Amino acid sequence: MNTKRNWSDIWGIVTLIAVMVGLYFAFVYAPTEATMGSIQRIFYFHMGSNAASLTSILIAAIAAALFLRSGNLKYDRVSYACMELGVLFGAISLATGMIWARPVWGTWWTWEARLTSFLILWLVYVAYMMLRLSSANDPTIARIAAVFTFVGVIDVPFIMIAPRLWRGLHPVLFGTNAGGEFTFNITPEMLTTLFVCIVAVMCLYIWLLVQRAHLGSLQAQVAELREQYGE
Amino acid sequence: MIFFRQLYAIIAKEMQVEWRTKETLSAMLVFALLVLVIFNFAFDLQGVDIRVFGPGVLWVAFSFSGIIGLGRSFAAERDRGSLDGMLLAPVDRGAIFLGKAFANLVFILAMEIVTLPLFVILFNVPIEWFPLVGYILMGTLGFAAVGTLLSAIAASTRMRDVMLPVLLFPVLVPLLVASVKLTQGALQNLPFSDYQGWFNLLLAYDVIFLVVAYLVFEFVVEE
Repeated sequence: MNTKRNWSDIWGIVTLIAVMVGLYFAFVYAPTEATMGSIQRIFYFHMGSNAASLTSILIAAIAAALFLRSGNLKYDRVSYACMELGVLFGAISLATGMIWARPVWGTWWTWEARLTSFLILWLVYVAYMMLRLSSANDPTIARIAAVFTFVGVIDVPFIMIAPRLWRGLHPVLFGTNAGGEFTFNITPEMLTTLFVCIVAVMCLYIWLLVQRAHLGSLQAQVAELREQYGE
Repeated sequence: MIFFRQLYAIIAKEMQVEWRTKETLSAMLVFALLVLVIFNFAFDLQGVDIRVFGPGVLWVAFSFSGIIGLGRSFAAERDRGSLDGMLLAPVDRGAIFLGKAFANLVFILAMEIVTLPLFVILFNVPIEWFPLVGYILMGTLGFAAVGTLLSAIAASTRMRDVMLPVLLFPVLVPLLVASVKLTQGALQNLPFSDYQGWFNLLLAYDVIFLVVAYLVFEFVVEE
């Protein structure tokens, strides 16, 4: 138990350093983008949280499958933590994206394919949280939530395809100007910064995941003790 | 063979229960009609091209009204305690799911059979029946499959009535968009190649979710 805590503390320090380095890269090392100015710097952490949120449902589904196979509640706690972090990092991603889009695109939100897909996925995460919170003390909820995670992860390809068929894919981020859309050319320094920031956010994600799963097991222990001593 | 006998028994039971009261079906019908009327006021659909906006109105009516039926599907069983009885019987869990899903499909289709002509009359839509009915059938099939599974999930939570729409709609978005697009294509007499992508998407959605829901259903009802 103790060594476990020690490892997670060490990981916490690694995360702290990684985030500091990420901030340094985003604010000092990366050059200011020519047309957008400093607002573009939010983009580095935007992409990081976006990646974290997108991978959440995959890890959650794998953990849910392991839980259904083995019945070990440890996997359920990991799955739950992933979905919860999906809500958190999804919200960060949406918020930073809007802050970036307002001055650059001139609008907080646009029903572009990528944005629409992401919003629907985020709503799936939120629905999962609603399901979880609606019957927190019910022992059957873990299995039911695992099934919903499956439904969610199978829905992901459809969520990705449908808005693209609906709106068409508008490449708005990198590379050449495809459809008259606003683009910018990324410099090597920016790419390095992007990479560093994604790694930093992923470190933070893993740290939070471990903490949240550990918290879940403590909660389960408390519930067990309560039952034992009849409170 | 015994699987089909079980399936038949479940479907017959569902039909008989609904036939005796007709509660759910009548509620669905009234609700669908109300949605059509409210849309007329909310969007003032006079003068716009109804073949473009109509499909959206139609599918909102179908899905909102369908959710009422789906919500009752398992909640009523839980209330009566009859789900435990059904689970105690030596019946394949897959047969329970398919029977329930088929019954829900029939109820939603029954609602749509009344709602669609009402839509045509109230909004004065020029209509081609041939491909349209097929697309509505496809959309409803996927809707009933996912809806039945999530209805079972929602019924095992405390806030079952609120839970179903919250869980169902995010998952249902691709199906609804595809169904609306296909309905638009059929109403506007567009060539099939214009919306074939949507057709493929909806077909894949139907097949995949029917299979997956059938496979995972036992985890939901297991006590």
